[in-house]
Amino acid sequence: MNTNSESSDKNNGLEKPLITDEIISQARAAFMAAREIKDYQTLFVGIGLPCLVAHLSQSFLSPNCHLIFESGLMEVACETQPLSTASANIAKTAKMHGSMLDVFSMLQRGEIDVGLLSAAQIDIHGHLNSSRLTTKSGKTLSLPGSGGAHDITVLANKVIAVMPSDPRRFVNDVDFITSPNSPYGNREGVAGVAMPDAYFSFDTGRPILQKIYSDRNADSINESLNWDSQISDSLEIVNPPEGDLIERAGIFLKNS
Amino acid sequence: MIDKVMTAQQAVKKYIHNSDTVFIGGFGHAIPFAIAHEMVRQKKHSLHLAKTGADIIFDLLVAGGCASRLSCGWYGNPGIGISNIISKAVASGELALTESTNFSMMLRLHAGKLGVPFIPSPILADGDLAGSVDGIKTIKCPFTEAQYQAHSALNPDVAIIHAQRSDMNGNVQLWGSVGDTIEGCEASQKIICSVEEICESEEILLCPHLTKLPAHKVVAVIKQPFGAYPSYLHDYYQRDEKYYAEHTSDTKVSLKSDEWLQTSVFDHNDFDSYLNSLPGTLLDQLAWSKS
Repeated sequence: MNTNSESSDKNNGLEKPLITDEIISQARAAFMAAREIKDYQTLFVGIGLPCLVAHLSQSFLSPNCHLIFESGLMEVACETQPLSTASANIAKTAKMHGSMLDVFSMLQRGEIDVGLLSAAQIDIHGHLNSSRLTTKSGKTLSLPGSGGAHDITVLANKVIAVMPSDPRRFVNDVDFITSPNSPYGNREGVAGVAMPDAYFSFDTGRPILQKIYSDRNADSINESLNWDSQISDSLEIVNPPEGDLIERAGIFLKNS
Repeated sequence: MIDKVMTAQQAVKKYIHNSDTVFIGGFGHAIPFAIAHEMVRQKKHSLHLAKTGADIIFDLLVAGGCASRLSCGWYGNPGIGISNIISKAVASGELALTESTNFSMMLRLHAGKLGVPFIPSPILADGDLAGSVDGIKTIKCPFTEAQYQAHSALNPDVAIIHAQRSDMNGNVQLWGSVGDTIEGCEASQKIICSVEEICESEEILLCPHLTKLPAHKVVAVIKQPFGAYPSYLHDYYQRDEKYYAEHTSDTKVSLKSDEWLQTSVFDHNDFDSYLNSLPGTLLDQLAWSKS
């Protein structure tokens, strides 16, 4: 892998970072999720890791995908990490400045192919928590809440979650169901969750380890996480992202 | 034509009353900080604040003792962290919080704008937020008998917003990312707006498609350059990223929140005085860049 940050000149004047383990970890999770997206799909993008998924999709795998943010920004070129869904860096690359009502209407009408979300916790039912955590001592830690996460989970034709590699985030039951995996009508709901080692699908209503990176071991992933998951009979081995892809992830994360 | 130009001090005194429901405009952009500073300075209290996603302007209003109730889909510092001030106020019972979702708040404001009692939607039927949210009830579709949630209309007493420009009559021109701003303003009984520039009505006539708020609802126009600082305003200035990045740790303890209110609000007679207290070249450094 090329970790020399002075190699590429294709960076539009953006600052090139030192490639850290954190950058590699985020790039691996995001790349795993980006592989689930098809070209020309319309994506409703949450803040955090989902933005890196959108960036890698647009730059490498699905160059014609349409990016929509809840603030009303549409046809966004997601070149650097936005801190909010209305940040200036994405407002400047958006080809349409709509309203929040516009984009949630599209979501409700079934025009969004994939909702990209992260959360504090995900459970074996595919429910997501972004509202509150209960500590071991029974204390409640308040989080910012749903925002559009509940709405995206219920209304997108399909949801792909993307999470950091932290066993505390993968649980059998979330502390609070902010975004229930009970989609409207015949929509698919939470189809799967990507993380830095692997991708779990919820095809059977329970997490199944479906894809892993070639430098990881399926048994050890399943053991390291807290939740009750199975390994697929047709486990797919995926080459981890490297080189230009890691560097672009680094540039994206550095220039927020 | 009525001249609605006045100071923030006059507008807040005249048009915001204790116990009002107030919609806060601006979504990650064009956030009306100057008007909020004045609300804190005038010690407005018992307000019900309504919004989809509540940015750190809500920290200012809650720390300043202005709010007794908050209805929103999200609260915190976008991309940075939780709101220490709101979490603490809710835990102590000072602030009643109704948490829903951004789309639900949007539907409630849209129903308010349309002048209908509710809008049906499938959201908030399941999960732990369902049933805990005021203003939502399960109904049956009269055509298909399918179940939906009725999201009741919200009609705030007053909306506060910041925009690029207006004429003296309140034909407000706003562009860039608008989020929930237009719906929230149109659902409200009246609108208080601060702007970077007040222009002639002839200039408005050159680009009436940029006029987003109707003058008949605008009761006050305040000339306040940098009135959205520390947030950004499209084509005018960038966000003060350092301010936002440091805000969450700066407000972890009450003592620091008090100091924040003192140095940014109470030490000043108006917002210009606060802007003048900022480090010399800061506002110049925030100049808008196209790329």
